[in-house]
Amino acid sequence: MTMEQKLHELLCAYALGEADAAQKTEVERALASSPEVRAELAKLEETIGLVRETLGGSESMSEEAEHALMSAVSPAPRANPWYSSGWMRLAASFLVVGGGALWMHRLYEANEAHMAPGSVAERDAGDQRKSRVESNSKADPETLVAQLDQKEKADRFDSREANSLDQLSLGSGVGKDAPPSAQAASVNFVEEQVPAESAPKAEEALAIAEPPPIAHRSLLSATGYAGNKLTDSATTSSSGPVDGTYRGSGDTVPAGGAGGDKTSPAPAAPVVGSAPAPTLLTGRKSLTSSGSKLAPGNERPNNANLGLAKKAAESAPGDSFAPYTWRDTQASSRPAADDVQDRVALLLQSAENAKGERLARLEDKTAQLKGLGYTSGELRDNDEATLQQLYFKLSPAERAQVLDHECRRVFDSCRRRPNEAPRDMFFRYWGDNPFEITALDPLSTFSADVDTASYALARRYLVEGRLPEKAQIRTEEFVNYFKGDVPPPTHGTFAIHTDLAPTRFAQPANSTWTLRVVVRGEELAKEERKPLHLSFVIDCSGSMREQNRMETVKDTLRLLLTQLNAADQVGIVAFSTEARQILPLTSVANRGLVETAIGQLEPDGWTNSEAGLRMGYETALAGLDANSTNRVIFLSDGVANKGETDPSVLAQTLKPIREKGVYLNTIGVGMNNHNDTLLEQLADKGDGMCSYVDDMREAKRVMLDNFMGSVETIARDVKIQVEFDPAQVTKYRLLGYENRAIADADFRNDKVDAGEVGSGHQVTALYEIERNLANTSEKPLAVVHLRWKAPRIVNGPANEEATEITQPVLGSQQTSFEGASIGYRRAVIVGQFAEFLRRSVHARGRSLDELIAEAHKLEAQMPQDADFHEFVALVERSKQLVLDNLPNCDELCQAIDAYRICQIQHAQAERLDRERQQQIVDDLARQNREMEEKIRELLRRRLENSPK
Amino acid sequence: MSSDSDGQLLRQWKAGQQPAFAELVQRHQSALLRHARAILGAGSPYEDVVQDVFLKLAESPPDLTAEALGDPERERVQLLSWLHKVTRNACMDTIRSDTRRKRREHAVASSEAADGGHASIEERDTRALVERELTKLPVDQREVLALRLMGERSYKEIAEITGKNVGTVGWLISVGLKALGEGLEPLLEGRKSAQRGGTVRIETGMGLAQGEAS
Repeated sequence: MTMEQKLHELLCAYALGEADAAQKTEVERALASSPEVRAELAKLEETIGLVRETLGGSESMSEEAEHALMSAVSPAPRANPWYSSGWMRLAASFLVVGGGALWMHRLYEANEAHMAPGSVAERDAGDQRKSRVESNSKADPETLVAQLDQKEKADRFDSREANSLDQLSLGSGVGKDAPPSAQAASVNFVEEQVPAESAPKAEEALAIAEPPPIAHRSLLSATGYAGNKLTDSATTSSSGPVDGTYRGSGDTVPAGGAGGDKTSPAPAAPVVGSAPAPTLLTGRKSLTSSGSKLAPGNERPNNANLGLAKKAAESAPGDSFAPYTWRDTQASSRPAADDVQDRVALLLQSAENAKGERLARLEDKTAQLKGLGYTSGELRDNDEATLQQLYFKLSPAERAQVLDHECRRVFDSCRRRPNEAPRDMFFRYWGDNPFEITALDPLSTFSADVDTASYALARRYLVEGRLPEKAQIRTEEFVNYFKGDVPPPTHGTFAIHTDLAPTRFAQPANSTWTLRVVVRGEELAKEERKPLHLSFVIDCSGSMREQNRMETVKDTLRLLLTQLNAADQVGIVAFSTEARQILPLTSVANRGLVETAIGQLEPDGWTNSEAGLRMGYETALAGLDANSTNRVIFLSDGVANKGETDPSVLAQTLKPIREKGVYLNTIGVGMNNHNDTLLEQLADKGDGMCSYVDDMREAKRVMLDNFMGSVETIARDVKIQVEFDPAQVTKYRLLGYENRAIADADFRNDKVDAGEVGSGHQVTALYEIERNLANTSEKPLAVVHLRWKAPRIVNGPANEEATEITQPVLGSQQTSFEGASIGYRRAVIVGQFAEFLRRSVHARGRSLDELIAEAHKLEAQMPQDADFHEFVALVERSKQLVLDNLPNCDELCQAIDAYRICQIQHAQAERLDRERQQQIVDDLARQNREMEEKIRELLRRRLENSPK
Repeated sequence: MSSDSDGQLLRQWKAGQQPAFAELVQRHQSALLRHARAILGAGSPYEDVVQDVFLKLAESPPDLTAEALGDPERERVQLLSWLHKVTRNACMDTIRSDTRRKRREHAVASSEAADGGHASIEERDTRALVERELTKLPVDQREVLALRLMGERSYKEIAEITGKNVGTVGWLISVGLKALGEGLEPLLEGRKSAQRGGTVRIETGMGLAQGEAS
């Protein structure tokens, strides 16, 4: 064994925690002396990390396999169970071999696939459902769903025996609806028939021919339950849960899971604790005091470490909702190493400034640490401890210096950046929309958003016991997911509704209100719709093989077909490594052709979304028809990995085509690596909506219940602007729509793109407002403006004329929370839950228990709303998960929050007139100094590890 | 989920309580599935092998040694050791058929050819790529890596499961990781540069950090 090999083995053992003390010392010595060794270990750790990260999650057998297993062992162990008989063992081994062979064969087939309508149905037993569906393709959707349901239920309750029987009897022409009582007999049947006849033949076939000839293949598929089941469940298991998925008490939920959130191991933080310095943000009144040296804009600190400080400040914009800790500027896990180095460098620098023997020793020590710093996990995790350790070795003067550095780092991260707007500062600090002071900015403007994917995907996460990313929660999509509750307009395209009631959840309770603004679109009858030209772009990459995704997509398509008629056309493009057109736009009258094309889809290869989209648009443009709705529907798990993958660039390429009148809808499937952002952005830029489908129930919702909304656009570039009266509303905050904000001035700029709204859609926006109840004016406290353009006309002149309607919100329409409409209360409750999931800074101190109590009260009043029932169950189930992950805001964190608010107020004050500004600025300067002192003191305590 | 130890569950199952068996399946299937897949490959009927292993567990559950009983961790290690051994044997039985192996290798080779190798492809379908690199390793390396990295078995336990000595296990892991590291080099590089600046790649990273669902 060479030295090199030996060393690599040692490093492996070290990285995997298998090294003993002597080996550890040896490795560490090598690490300290050789950069090559360090590089090697770093690479090793990366490799290990990558493998664990990608393949390390927990796995389970397919439901069928598990059910089969459970029924096989039930009841309790028998002395000599059926499956241990010699014949059965032989049969089983045959089935294993045969199954593998059959799978291989399918691979070949997939490679050579060509369109042969008749051959699809009998391809294999896994396609049985397909053939059943085909034979019933004229059936109405309800029947189809019921059939799929039934099939899936059957799959669950099937025992291994029953399944064998099912397959066997199909092959031998016996009616497959044998009653369960026939099962006992069936076992004998299996034992006698399978081994005696098919097994030897099949083995013979395997020995002679490859792939097996057709005759043997059908025999295999008839008898090869195990084989088919195996390959199906290992690749695209043919049945996913339809019902009960979300209620799934029986589902295995990996508790906690590997939630991708970096704050997930945070200690249980009950939602208590005072909201940070609430008095500081009470609008204009608290802004009235005096004096400053902090002129905004030129406040960049003039210190040698500017670069470092800047870097720290920029490291985690928008996501720093977590309380301040030593780690809070190293937002993602990787830069941690750099940060350690930065810190050590910082210490070294202070060491340099004052020379001495002791410092030389320290330098020595830190150099050593630096050598190990980015390789040893211990140090990476405990750099705070290390810093504290070193801190004690410094003289008081040096300590002060280190403390100065830390303070500056914190202060700089809080300070305003050149030309940064106050609301942007807020967003950078906490990642949420701020409360706006009405006197400073009475207008709130945003684009309509009718997507629902965020809720469906978050639900999927929560059901599996994991917390979604903050960025994945879009409050507006949560609220809009639920069925509309206000009536559609009696005339015109839109109606605006507003509700106003005191909020249940915010502080101060008496003056904080929630305003709901609802924009409801007209509902076109199905008969009124124009013919559809739908070009499906279907992701057939390898990742679609996982978790039943491909089957979900196929079923979704089949469901959609039930909604179409002979006047409609469908085209299909499949993409993986490259894109290929499987079906040009073809009338749905040729249903056989369409079904066959759907049957052709097989997952394999990479994900080249760009090629798929391009070809999809080509398909759509080839059949562009002025009298039809031309739409591309993109179905994918969203993980683009070949071709262009940047959503903004992809979206750019869509623009010219979109202007020809082709819309783009996106439908997400699957999760884990589901790229929600890509799909959301594509739909946004493609003038369509984004949905998420994870099972048949959701597919039915998207494709049947919301069919008209998804395909029939009634308006485009829909913008909403709410104008508040500063005399009655002191401040306001929009929940959600973070990535749909539009500059106030662009509301009437018709060149600025905004969201599209489909038939019957309800767009809801929630505002938390703080009212000045002393003002009992008759005037409206807010006015809602809505502006939109008519849908594009294909090949026609661009109609850029916009329509605008207005609706006042009167203080007199207020009610109590209990007295408000159920739709209002539902929206508020759902929106509030989204706030919790976002770990919103505004949700701090609010009670999830109270939310659950309100939800229960409401639930009792709307027994018909299945979506809401499911929501309530979801909230209850996820309660602990959510609570465990709320950021824990300690004293230092609160002090920093207060300081940040001060900075924002300072930036806001700049917009006031000169005289008032001076007064406010002076006052803020004093507050600033006090707060900086406080933070400094808390930091010092933290450094010396002496919590009060 | 039951908080009973593996030993208690085994005893309950021997007394005829089916939930105990179901719980054992829940607990250990993940590790066994990974083990079997590492040996047989992702496209194989590995799930059925695991099914058979549990049937074997149902049929003739092992007796844990006296010194392990009462200590949940040791019970777990011992049962897992037994389960891994049975899984391994079942896999070896399956693999012994020469025809099968040839085809499997053929399938791997052809799928690579179809993709045009990965030098020409932007490599971001991380999972598929890692899995593929793993598949390229010889079976024994693949197996110990799966047991160590995903199954979190110690070198010693792996030695016991595979019947190799600890030194060999260490060597196999070293060789395997080295080859894997080389195979994944472009991917690791890509990820590093993505962390430096890309936005799209961060999305991918977020997804990956979620781990695997089922």
